[in-house]
Amino acid sequence: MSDVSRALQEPWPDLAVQREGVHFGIWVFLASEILFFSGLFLTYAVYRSFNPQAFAEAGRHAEIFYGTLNTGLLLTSSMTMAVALRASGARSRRITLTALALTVLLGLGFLFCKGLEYHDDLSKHLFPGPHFAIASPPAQLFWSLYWIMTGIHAIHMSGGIAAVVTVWVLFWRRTIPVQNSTMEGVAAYWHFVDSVWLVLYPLLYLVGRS
Amino acid sequence: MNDTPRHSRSRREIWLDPLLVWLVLLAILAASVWSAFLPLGAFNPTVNLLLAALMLLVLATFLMDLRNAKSVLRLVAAGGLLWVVFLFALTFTDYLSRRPTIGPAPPVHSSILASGPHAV
Repeated sequence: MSDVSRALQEPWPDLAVQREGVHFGIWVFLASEILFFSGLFLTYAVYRSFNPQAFAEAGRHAEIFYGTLNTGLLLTSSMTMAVALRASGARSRRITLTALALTVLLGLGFLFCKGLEYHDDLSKHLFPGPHFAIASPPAQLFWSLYWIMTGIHAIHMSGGIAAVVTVWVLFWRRTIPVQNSTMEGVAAYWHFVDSVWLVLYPLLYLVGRS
Repeated sequence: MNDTPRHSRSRREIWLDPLLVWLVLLAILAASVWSAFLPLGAFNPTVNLLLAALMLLVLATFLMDLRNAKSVLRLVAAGGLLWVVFLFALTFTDYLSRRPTIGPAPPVHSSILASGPHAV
């Protein structure tokens, strides 16, 4: 069976139409995800506009080292994902698999750092509740949003890692060829999850530093 | 349409462009951290968000390759952002226009309390 026939899936008549369908489908999904996260960003903006001083004080307690390190890891993972996509277009199976593996490792590194950061946050009593570390009550709003937004982002990140691992196994077993349009859908999702973090980073880690 | 238009790329070509974009993104990240510690007052959040928007633009244009995307994809992406603009504009139109009523309730005049609930 040729690479082209293995790459073509139901119900598409040819690869060009299939590629357009994947692009369109993933972007409609991403547009809905943009709105989902925007609801959280809007909540943050409203509360911050009413409590600027409390948010500045609360933001100073966020671990800027972990936040910046994780931003660097995600930017690097977006680079390796872009390499994987270009390599798949060039039918370079080895580079595609290598770049995808690096992307997964960087994603896991992000989650590992996030776990260390959560551990530090909890040990400093930065989880909203009766033993919360900051006296100002609106600071709990900031930290509630911190846990919700980073938690939902981490869930999306885990989904992205699972998707990349699945595609890697499919390519490695030669179930589908590397130039399959599936690669493009996974790449778009990965870049989107990184993009969400690029918005979270200044909102949660750069507040009240000056 | 050619399904694999980029199959002639060399290994160097595959890595070079993403690496250059990555360096630009790291430079913008460094600028974000640096600017966050500058005493810019109310402009700190503005500068931070503008630099984040610049990173998003670079990532979407060059790594997500939206510059080569078909018009329909750009429309879908722009449509998502348009609804975000509506979401923020309508919400803040409400909150900012009734901001003076948010906060502690004003003291109730003693004559109203004395007149009881049926006075109105």
